[in-house]
Amino acid sequence: MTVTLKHSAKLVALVIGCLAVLFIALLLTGVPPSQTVKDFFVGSLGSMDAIGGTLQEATPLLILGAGVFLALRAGLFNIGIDGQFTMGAVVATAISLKVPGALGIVLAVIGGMAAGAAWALPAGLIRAYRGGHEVITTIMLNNVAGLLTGWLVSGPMIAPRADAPMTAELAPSSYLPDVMHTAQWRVSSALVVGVLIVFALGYWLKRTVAGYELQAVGANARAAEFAGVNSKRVIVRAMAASGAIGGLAGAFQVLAFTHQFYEHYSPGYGFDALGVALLAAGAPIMLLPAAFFFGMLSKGGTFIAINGVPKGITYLVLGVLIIVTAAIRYRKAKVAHD
Amino acid sequence: MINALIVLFAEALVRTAPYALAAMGGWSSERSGVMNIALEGKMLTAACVYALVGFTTHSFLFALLAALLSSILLSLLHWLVTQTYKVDQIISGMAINVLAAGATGFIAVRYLQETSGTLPVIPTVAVRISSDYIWHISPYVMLAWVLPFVLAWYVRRTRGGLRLSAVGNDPDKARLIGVAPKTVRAVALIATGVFTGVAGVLFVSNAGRFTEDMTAGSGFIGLAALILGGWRPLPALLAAFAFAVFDAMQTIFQGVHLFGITIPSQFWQSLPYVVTVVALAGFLGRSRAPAGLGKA
Repeated sequence: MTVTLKHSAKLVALVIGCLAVLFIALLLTGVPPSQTVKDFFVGSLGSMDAIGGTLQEATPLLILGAGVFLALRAGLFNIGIDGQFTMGAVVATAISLKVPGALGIVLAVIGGMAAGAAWALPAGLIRAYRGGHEVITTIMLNNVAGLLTGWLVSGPMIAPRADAPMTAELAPSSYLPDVMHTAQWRVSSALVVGVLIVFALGYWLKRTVAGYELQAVGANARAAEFAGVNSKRVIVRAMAASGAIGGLAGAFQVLAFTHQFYEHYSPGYGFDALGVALLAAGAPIMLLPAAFFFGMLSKGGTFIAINGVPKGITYLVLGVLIIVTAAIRYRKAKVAHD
Repeated sequence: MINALIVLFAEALVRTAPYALAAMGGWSSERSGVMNIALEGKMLTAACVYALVGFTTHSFLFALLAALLSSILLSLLHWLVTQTYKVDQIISGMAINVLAAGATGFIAVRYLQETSGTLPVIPTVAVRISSDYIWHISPYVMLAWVLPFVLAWYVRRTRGGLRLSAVGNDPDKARLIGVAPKTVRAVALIATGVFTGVAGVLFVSNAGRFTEDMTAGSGFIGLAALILGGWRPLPALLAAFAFAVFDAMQTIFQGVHLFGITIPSQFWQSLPYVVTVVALAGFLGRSRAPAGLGKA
């Protein structure tokens, strides 16, 4: 009892410390904090236009969050989702530029998923069969993905007469269709697919043997092994599946939103996706509010930047949020061990 | 030709420094059992604080002290969060990188956009090696080359070094023989703060000003050097030097056609990462990670 009390007190201290840091940062911006907070909500939720923007920002984060979540259930940190997203996006762009129309969309999505899975596979194999930590391999592979695509868009794939490293724009026939499109408001089918993925993931983890085995490996690989689960194979498959979801998000990002690929394509989605998955904790359904919240942070952060508050402050919020969430939910050792 | 090789070698010696310093920062932390993917964030923070204090006080000493203090504090945050709150070391490391990116971006936009004058730096020794190449050696570079030797000696021959290894190999056994992992790790992470801090200062001193994300992944290359070196100081230094050679090649081969093809700069830049993945795949000998890495 006293141990839990002591731990609660420590947590309260952590939260207060974090809030103090954010408040000081807000004060230092020179814009009154109340104004910044108000602007943040106006920018992210204040109008149909703002909500639409928030939903658009939330879409890749939702799909990527689902990818990280899947790996996390198998006990794997897929920090590499950033690189898998990038590779999926570049392959989808290359395919769509060659094959326009509906067939191109289908091929681009498949190609994007394959690219994402292929980019995740080495990390899964090395973790399962060589014991090399997936975090380190995926960090390295993220950097390679950034450099490889940077070279592709400044050389072989650069648009004619482009003065910056970017590809040509896709033909409108290659755009992923919207399910709803009015003057101030659009809902992309990418978002709908994202929501479906979340439900499918929830069902798969809970109701299928493969999903059960995956979670068994995540909870205790050794025990799962004794129960007859081939944990190595589960790890490789989980990593590849997570990568395929990351590649899918990349393909959708190109087909639905940016319509071209450029250097530094991912604005740090890998970390945001990890945040979404961590906020969701054990329940896939919680990915929805978590992704929406991260979408708000992104959209609202851009809006307050217009009024002179540096965007860096939203990263401070993210970092603090992750530390506090993890301190509450992801303690490795038991509290009593202290 | 000989001249070009000498220039390549000299340039690589200098470019080894930030990688080696980052690798030693990672070494200190990971030898004590704390996984550290936040080297990049600490370097970036130190670089930013150096610029902020340097432009304000016009004193390199104040700037240096403040920069080291900032990276030490960030390192101790990693310690606090992972050791007291038992947060997963990877989550904590990612969060610290993001905090650093956010805070330094914030400071750069808010305070460092209209700075005037020159940034006070420790003077470098200039040696003319060829008609068009002058070799600049700073005390930081010398430190980067000496430090791994000191650490290699320290970890084998001193009480503190043996304790460090003991905690990193098996924290529970270390507890049994009366060594407190938490305390040892606090000291190890302060050292991490100092080494990564110096690496950050080196960046901003060379550039003369701070720009966002100026460390450009060097912290991760340092981490790669550490892994490639099997978590041992001297092999890690050698790996850092090899990566620096790739860097220097990139500058030298810029726009040069080799057998009819141009080698893109990204090829050289990605070599450290590719080599590290190959090493982790076990193609370059077995992994020598500290046995207790990541354990509470």
